Amino acid sequence: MNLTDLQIRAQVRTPWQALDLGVLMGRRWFKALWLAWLVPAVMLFLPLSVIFFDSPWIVAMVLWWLKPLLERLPLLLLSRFLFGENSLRGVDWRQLRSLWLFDCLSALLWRRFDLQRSFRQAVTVLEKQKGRARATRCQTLSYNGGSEAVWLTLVLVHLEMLLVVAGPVLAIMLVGDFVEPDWFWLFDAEGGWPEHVSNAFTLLCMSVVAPFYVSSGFALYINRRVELEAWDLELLFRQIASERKSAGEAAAGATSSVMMLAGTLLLSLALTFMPAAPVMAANPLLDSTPEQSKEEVLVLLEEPPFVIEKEHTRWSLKEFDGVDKEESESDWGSWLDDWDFEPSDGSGVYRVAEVLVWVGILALLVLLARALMRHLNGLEVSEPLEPARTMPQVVMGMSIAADSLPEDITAAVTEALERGDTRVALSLVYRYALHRLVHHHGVAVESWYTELECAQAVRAYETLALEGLFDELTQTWLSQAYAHEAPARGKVEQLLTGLRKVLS
Amino acid sequence: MTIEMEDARVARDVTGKIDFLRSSIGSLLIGQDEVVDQVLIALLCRGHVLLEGVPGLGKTLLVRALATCFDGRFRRIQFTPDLMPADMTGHAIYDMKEGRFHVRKGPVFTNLLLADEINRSPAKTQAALLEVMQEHQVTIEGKAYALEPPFMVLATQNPIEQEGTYPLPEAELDRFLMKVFIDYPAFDDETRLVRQVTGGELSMAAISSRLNGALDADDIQALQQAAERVTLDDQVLAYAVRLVQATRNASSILKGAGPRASIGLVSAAKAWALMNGRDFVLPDDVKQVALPVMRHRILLAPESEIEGFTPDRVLQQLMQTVDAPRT
Repeated sequence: MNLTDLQIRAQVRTPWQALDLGVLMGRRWFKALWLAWLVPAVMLFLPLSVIFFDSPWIVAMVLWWLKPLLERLPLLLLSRFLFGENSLRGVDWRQLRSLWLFDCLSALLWRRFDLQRSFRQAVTVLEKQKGRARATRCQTLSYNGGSEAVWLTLVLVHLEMLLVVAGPVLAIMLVGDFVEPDWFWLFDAEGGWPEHVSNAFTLLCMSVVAPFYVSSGFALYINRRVELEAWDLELLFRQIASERKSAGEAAAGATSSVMMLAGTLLLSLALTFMPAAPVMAANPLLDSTPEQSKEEVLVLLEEPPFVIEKEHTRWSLKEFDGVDKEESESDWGSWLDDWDFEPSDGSGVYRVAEVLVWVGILALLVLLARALMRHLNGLEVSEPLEPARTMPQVVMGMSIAADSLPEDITAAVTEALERGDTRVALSLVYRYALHRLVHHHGVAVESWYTELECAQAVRAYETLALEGLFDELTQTWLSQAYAHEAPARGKVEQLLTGLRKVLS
Repeated sequence: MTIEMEDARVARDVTGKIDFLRSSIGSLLIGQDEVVDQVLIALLCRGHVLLEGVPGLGKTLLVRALATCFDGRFRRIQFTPDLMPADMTGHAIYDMKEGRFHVRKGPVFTNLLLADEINRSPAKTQAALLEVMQEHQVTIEGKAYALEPPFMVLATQNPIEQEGTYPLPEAELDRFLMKVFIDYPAFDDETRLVRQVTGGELSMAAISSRLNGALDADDIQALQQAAERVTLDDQVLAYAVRLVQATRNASSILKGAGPRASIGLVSAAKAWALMNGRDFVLPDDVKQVALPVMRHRILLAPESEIEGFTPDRVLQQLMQTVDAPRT
């Protein structure tokens, strides 16, 4: 690893900027990374599909489970690309086997569901650490970038699922509405070709997402190392050193006395004006003991610019950065004040989104709990009760309520017949019959039923021994109402008498 | 649901003719009794029918059988994208020898016209049917030619294979008295149908020799007049109009049915009453014909369509909100 060959600018970035950088790296070396993931995966997929032809779900499961191992080769490749090596030269079969087998058991068992896998993978694969050493190293690295690595995993898992679902949906949309195949056979088919095709498509989706997952995680890791090991400063020093070296060589290479004189003068001038020169040449600290130096450093630290004194004439909000941070963390109510909602890297937006997601999940859980409670309560209450059926008071515009009918129906009908108003008389008989049937015999009649529908509803009650009287009444009433043909008086009286007998 | 009426309220010859039509067509078109009834209603009302169903359910057979029953003429037009209005209505041709124009009448000059797959032709051709259906006449070179009664258009359209079709314009749809759905026959009916066809009992030639001459065009017109004479109570008339008006106020319907629906509903109810041997209309008659008369005249609101409602379902719900006649 030669830092001067680093293909990215060594500078400390925020984790979110590092993720962006990772995506860019993934795009730049996509083809190589994609093949490095896909080729071993296909080499596994084909024999597995043949072996488990009748149980394709096993193939999909195994491939998914082996993802941590499949990501190792792209990671190795990426680490080489990052330092200017564009091939796997020098890597033999033995090294590849070691790459995949190193600490593979824990990677596939208790670390399989590690949400920071992309971030910590480099510690295993590139630093070759395992056990306690690995844990300590991961802890150090995770201090800055761990939560972002979790988010990276969550987002890309969803993206991968989206791709897997989008393929069949696209196919359905392209087929159109006019062909309606039974899509559910895809899910019902057990061990058939559709499931193998589905596996292959899932594999393809995983292979597309994997390069970005690996490169983003690796970018987080590199960013953390730049931060911890001050690669940026080291590179700066190396640059200064090389510049100075080249300047020295240029001076030493002069042969003529004039050039020597001029060179000496220029070097003296340069040394005079360069900031490091006086420090190196005339720094009294170089001659003092460590204790003296320490004291002088402490004195320096007590003075500006290390200590800034300001006078405040009014109260202002306390800043929680620095020494007061611990205090602010203990005060849970003021956590919002600690937020910088508009940091330059946009991480504030993600933090707001994170809080919103948690709030949404909590709200959803509360709603689900409430719905469940209501459902359980509803079951308890409604189970023993019969659904209440409202008796219609009006059928076909005719009131069949008890209070709308005269107390003595026979007298009212006779009176109407005496007046020669057969229609009113028959209407009274019909309403009386319906009233008795609906309210006393429980015949289910809706308010929008017509006469024939009522007759049909009554016929459905075989327990009622009406001897065809209601049908006869309906027929007589229909002739009266719609054909304007009045029945004989005797028939109305006969119907009333008969119905009173059977409906009493 | 019907109750046998005591007395024969309609002249026996009228019911006899209707029963003859019903049974004759029913013997050919097995398992489609409801479709046969609805087509006969349209015939008695001088209306036109839009038949919707997949190919192969006997739509052509139905029209042919109907034409054979009353010795009427039957023509069929297969609608295609390049069909021109003059191909249907006819046109004037210049005779070089005689030095004058001869009018060549198109296939619409018939008693029963089967417009097969009407939505395969563009609106221009479909619109040529408007005058024919509404006025029962054709104008060629500025001169109107009346069609001989009875005249009836039976248009068909396929509910699937909608590519390259032209939906019928509202004005044209409104001209059809009824939209009839023709569906697959039930198992028993289909079994009977297959047995009869494969046994040679159901050949059109054999049946036409039996049916020919039984009725003529005048008989059909007499039946149409009898349907018009059916008594209609004011309450039932108001009920029919209320039903149609309810479609204009329902939130689930974007565009309700127009007055032509009210006219069609009452006419169809009268015909249905006549077919049931009654000379007066019941609210049930109105209900019975409400769906085929109104289903193609309403336009569902987008939200209703998204929720999976069909015009029939919306109309059924609507009928439950309208009070039956008040007496």
